[in-house]
Amino acid sequence: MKAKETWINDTLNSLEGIRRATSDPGLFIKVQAEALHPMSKKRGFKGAYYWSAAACITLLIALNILSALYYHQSENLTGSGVAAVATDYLYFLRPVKL
Amino acid sequence: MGITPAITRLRDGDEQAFRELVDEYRDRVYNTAIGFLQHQENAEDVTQEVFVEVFRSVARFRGDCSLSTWIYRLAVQKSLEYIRTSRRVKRSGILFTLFGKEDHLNIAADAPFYHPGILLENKERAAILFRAISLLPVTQRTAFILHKVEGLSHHEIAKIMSTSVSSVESLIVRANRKLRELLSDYYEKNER
Repeated sequence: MKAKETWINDTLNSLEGIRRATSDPGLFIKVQAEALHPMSKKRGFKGAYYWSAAACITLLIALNILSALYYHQSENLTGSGVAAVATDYLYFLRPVKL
Repeated sequence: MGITPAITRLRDGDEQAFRELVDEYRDRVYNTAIGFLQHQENAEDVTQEVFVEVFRSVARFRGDCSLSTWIYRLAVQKSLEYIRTSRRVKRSGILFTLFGKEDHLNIAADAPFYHPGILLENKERAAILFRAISLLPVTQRTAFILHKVEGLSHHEIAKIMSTSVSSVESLIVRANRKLRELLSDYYEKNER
């Protein structure tokens, strides 16, 4: 119990004697460049996010168009509207040829 | 507080005034950021973002607090924002791994501990303490870091956090109590 209390106190006191961390002396040049020609990582992150989303949506649309074209050309799709749906989804109701 | 001559010079786009401001505050901002992030490159990014923000919004600075308070406030906001963004990116990690976007993932608990101001003999324990600090509620964490890492008085912290001195004192007491609990749990699991 005493060992635990000592360990906790020592850990809490581990910040004693802490010195201030010093930054890059060339910071002003970087800040100046960033302020005049903004190219922040945050914008890059947002850009990547939007581009990824746009790519996914384009891919989905392309797949939809391709599948529509494929089914349109297939021999099963003889009619249009109700007939096409019936052909595609209610095929099991067709009379069975013996 | 009001608009001081230094702020007027900054508003006029005086480059020398901005250089002086960066030189005067860069270590304080960096030290605050490293208190939150414990990661050299991330803290440098935050420091840079703070000064870019100062450069862009000094024209809107109304002077209702001191320049120092305003800059510290920005440093705290940007550090917390950085942590939030990193956690959000981490949650969507799979998507970003697919698109090769992993540079924000290394933060606090996952990254190796870095604070150049800590005495060598205290490094190991300080790493555990900082991991516990990162689990504190935001207000307790902010008050604790500004007091223990940046060495600010309760009065200065109250101004930065827009609260009363007694609230800051209470936050620090509660932070210490919570840290004791967290360290106690850690000790039971790892040190016994």
